[in-house]
Amino acid sequence: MSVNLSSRTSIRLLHSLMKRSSVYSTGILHHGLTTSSQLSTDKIIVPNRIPRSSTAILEALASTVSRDTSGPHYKYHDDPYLTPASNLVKRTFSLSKEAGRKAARCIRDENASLFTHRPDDPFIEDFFPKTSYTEESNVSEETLHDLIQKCSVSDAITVYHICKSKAVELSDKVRQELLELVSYYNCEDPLDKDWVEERWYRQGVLTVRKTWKDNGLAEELFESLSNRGPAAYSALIRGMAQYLQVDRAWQLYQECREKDIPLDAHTYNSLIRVASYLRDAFELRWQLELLTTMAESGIDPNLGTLNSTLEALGQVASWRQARQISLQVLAEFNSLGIQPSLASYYYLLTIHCRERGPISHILIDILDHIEGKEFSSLDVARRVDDLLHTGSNYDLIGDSYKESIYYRHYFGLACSSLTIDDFMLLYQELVPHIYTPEPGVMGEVLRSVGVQEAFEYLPQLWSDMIVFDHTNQERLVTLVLSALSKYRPSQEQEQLTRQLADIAWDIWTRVQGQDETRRQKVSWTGQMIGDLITTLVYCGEYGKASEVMKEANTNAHNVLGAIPITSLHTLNEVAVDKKDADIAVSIVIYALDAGHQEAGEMAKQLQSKLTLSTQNRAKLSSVFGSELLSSP
Amino acid sequence: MSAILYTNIASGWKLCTSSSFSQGTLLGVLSQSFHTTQVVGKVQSGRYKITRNRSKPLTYEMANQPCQIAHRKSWNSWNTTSLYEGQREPETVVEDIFIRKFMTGTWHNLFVSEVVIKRQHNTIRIAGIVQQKIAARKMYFLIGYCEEILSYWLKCPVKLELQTVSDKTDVIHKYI
Repeated sequence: MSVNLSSRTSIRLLHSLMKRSSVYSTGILHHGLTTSSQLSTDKIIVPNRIPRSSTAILEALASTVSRDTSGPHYKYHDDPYLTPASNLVKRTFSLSKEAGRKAARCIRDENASLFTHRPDDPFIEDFFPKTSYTEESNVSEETLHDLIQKCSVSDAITVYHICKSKAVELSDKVRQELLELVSYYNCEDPLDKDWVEERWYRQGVLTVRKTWKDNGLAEELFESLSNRGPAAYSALIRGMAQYLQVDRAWQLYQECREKDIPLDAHTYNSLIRVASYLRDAFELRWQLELLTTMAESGIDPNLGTLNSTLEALGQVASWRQARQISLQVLAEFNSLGIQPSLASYYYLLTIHCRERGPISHILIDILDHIEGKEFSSLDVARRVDDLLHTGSNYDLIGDSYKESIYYRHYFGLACSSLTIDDFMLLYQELVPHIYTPEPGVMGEVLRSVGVQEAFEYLPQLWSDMIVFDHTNQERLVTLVLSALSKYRPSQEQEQLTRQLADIAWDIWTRVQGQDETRRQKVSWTGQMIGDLITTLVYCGEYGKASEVMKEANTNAHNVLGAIPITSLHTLNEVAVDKKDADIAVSIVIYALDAGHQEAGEMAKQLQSKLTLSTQNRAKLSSVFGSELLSSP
Repeated sequence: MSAILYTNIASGWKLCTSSSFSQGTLLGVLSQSFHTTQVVGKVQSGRYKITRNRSKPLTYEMANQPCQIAHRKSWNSWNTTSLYEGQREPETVVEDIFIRKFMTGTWHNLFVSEVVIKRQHNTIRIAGIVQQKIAARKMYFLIGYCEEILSYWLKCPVKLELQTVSDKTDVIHKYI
């Protein structure tokens, strides 16, 4: 062992020496050969040992791994069959996996006696079944204390009741701890920390109503305390303020003032936050009173005070003076040496950027302040994105819903302000693994592809649409078709032409083959059919175009509106070129039926350029009358 | 006397015990003239019998005999128990058997390969190939379930590393 150790230390020494020498050699390269004499005179300075936590290496390793945009999230299995693409599938997969884990936990807890072997050393509690408490359980103050430490609210409450029924003596200390626990959690179990997916996909419902359990265990415990000190009052006031039992919290606060019980800054913060919910609380009377009381009783405000004050201001942001006051507050806290956090900036944004208000540039100021740098609208978005990907800021994004809103806006802005080529770079980076565009965003993308005539992106977008299950969205299909119809093939783009023709034909077969019972169906419009025909004709798929035309003619009741005349002209020209009289005649008849003025002109043209069979002549004369055809 | 023993080796012992020879004579006789056949030397394990119409499908793993381990194929259990001062050898073997039975039973009729168990530090990684016979979301349920319950049972983090094939025949190396 000793040999081993010494050899290891010698290797380490060697390693450090080599590192040093390499540093020096680069130094020599940089500074020229003159510095070589310094090499011998420099002393080796051994740096002081930096104390690290037990997980420091893991954290350092984790920081080297960033989100990989080329593959699915790490939580998904690395297999093509198990890789999700659309938002719905991503959600299903993650929640299914968690459901499986929940099932396993349920089995473990229901058959707790089977899982009690302990081969693990040291003992790992998370793998051990949870202890359930009943009236027969042997409980003590110790048990209660442990449960409070573990934050298991419902178990702590059960044990408390058992203690009460068995007349187990509980000290004021443990009662105070329990009071703090139940006030903080409002006597309810929080969502288990292990269920990450459930938390991620939970619809964030912001409840702005009183949820405090009146006359619940918290108040009972408060009453049962023999000596109600500042800690007990603080715990109860904070709990009530958090769950918006504002009037009672205020009452307790008044009680404290009468009895001269000192409260801490956190309790004041919680009261400031909700003071605007008090009756006749407008104009910040109560906040001011609270802040002055704080100053009088010599309590130093902290970051929490700043944030609660700004949050309270945010609730009355429609008030004209709110903006001005918020800046004053910020300045005042700054002079107290309290630097705003990201949360403070969030409240500032809610105060200053309102839907029906003047445009504010506070975001840019904030970003300048955070980064200490100067910078337009996409630049700002980029900067916000950079800020999001700094350090562990991504953890603050909240849940899947907020993440998708974030990317929706980011994409929307990028799509409208970038050129399509630059935008598609961003698209390729984020789609599909980081973000799956919603139909609305996809619509924006398709529109700008159409406007900027960047047809080379259409094949990719269409295959993405198939994966994301967007092909039954009529609006999107219409946009794809209108983009396709603008395509004019050239010699060098043979492959693209073929691809686009395939897309057009794929759309046709998909829509034709739709399940009749589907709720969300694509129904043809004249414009869509027109675009489809134009595309097919230009891509050299005359046969397919004429098939579409035949179908549109026979099932005209399935098509909403008429096919535009330009598309009919396009098809007609090719039909005349190819001497396909049947199709040409049917086009002319369709044009007449649809009420296009140009139908007569087309019929004349047809007659002059093609030799029509008697059958076709009869068809034309039956709709146009014989004089039109006979006239030269 | 020795002639009788010589010709009737199979019934020799019965004869010897039923006869009224003294022990001494018997031992003397046996040491001189008890004959056995040669050792067959046939190894059967990990080898498959060839069928007459060559219809028995083998995976790559099955097609290579145990002597090919570390040459043409790899181990199915990866751990350090058999190294010098390795610990928990019997426990590991039993646990591996349990894991294999649990996996093939829970993923019923889905595994088309061996279950490979890799242990690293306190982590167990279970790999294998399954068929795409059930919906992907059901697979995710089973993944979550197996990882969690095996963790509870073995008291260490367990991870599944599965791959899927659309058809059972995808893993067939040859027919014998």
